[in-house]
Amino acid sequence: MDEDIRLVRQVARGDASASRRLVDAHGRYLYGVAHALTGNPADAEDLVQETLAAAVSGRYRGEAALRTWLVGILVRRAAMLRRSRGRRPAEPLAEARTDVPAGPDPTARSDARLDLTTMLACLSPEHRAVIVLRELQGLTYEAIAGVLKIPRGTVESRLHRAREELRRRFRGYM
Amino acid sequence: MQRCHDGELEPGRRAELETHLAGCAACRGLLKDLGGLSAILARAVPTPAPPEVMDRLREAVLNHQERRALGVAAWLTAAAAAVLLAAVLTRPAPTDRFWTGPARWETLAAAVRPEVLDDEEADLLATAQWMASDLATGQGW
Repeated sequence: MDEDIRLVRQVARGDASASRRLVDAHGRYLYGVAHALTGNPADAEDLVQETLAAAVSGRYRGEAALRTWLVGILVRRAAMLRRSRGRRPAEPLAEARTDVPAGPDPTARSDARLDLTTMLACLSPEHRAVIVLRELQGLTYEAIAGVLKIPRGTVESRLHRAREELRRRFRGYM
Repeated sequence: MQRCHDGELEPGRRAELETHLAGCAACRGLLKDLGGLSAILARAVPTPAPPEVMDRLREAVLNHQERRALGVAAWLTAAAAAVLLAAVLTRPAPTDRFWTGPARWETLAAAVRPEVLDDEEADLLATAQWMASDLATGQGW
């Protein structure tokens, strides 16, 4: 985490090479998560730009690993984007495929990798957010509640419903 | 089961749960499913960022750095100008050998609370204050 703090301070001081290291270290991952949250390449790119801008501002204080901190910002900004567009909370992604086969090709490897955006496309935006924070970032319920500004009980219930849906759709892959 | 899977079980409940699991195939199956789901999510492939997106992200972060630097410079220039103006206005007459110090510039410079500044801004503000102090005491004229 000291290295994360050092990098962010260098970026905040205008060090161009530090800025490049920041983008190269986290940009691809953030884009993948943003794409899974929005299903939209343009929105994903905008969200990542805004998220990395937060790192430039020097607000990171080492309270969590830098990537975890950045993902928290990304998830919150995705929620703000959604609210600003007035999208109904229960609406799954229109842009992503939802016609995932019930199970893998029997001749395929059992450890076949699914596309993250496709996996999360069947979930509502709120459910996607808790799955990203819990399954990809390993945050505790309390930490997720803090990031999303929702009660801990709501985190648990959203996780439960999201996992029920994912288990139903991807049972053949488990 | 979800709390158990996520390591969020209250202390003391683990033993109780393990006793239950020993006799409940359905719950064991659920726990296994949660583990399987986590495994496929961990393996899931995020959509890759195209090279042109990465180029635009690098450029955007650089632009943001430059805008921030200009913003900080503008703020510090304004702060230093205010400090220097106060120092000039309160500078004692050359014949006053017993002038005790530039109280007004200290008050002005202290108007910004140091704790809200980051390290770089605090260093530059201190430099502005020293400049004003030198001018106020007649050094450097």
